[in-house]
Amino acid sequence: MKIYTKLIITILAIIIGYFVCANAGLLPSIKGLFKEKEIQLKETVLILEDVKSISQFFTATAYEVIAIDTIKQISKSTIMSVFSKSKTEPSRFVILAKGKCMAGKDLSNIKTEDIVVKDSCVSITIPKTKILTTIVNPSDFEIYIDDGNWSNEEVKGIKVTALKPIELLAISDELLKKASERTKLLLTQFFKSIGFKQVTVIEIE
Amino acid sequence: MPLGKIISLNITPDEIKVLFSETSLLRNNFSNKKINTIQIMGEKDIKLKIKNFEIELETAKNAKNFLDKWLRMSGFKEVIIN
Repeated sequence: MKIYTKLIITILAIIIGYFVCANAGLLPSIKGLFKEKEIQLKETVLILEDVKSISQFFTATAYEVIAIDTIKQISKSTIMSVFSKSKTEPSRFVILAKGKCMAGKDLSNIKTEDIVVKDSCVSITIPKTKILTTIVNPSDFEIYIDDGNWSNEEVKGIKVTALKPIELLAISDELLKKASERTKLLLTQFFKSIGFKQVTVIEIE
Repeated sequence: MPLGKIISLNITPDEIKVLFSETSLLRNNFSNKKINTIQIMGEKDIKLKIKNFEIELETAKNAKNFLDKWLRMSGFKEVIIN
């Protein structure tokens, strides 16, 4: 009997001791043992490989949001396939992408003959407006549905496919037209501010 | 001329590579959501550290050269950009 009493007292002492230590923060709590730890970034090194000189004139930006819903067929587990005729089942992945599409002109190839000056009049020939960049950074993606059957490479592939639809949406929202008009306005204002009375901006089609 | 500044950061999904991934026996592998969280943290880190490279100085130099070239093409003989 004495042995049992001693054993119970020892167990109680261990339990009480553990809770006291857990409350004091010396030991992890029971909840904390199974809790996911917060992700922490270790000291990272950023290396600058190259600085390119660009002459891009960004004049309009479109912000677009798309949802990519992808389904693939995966093999059913052996237990499940016994009760079903079909050997596969669908697996779904849904991701939201918020992209920024920037349009304007690449002015790096403007030559002397593209700017014609006559007294107080100037005529400038500029290239066609185009999409200069489409940005969808990691923080612009939001995963909504992921049943765990999608590899990192597959997700990467889905993320890459987001760029083109964002670009197409921006074009359908008349981004190129807006960028073209804005370029003409800004160049006219610029040349007038440096003393020209008449400014003609010609855009190559 | 105003000072140069970083106007955008573009990290395309195909340029991000997972070089090493290992989890202990008692843990699940990194989910896609977790990997995305790590990438977001990396993006924030780049935004923070890129300032140390003083790209703005290079930008100011390029912008100055560009404007100088344009103004000379427009007939100006002497160009001073501050």
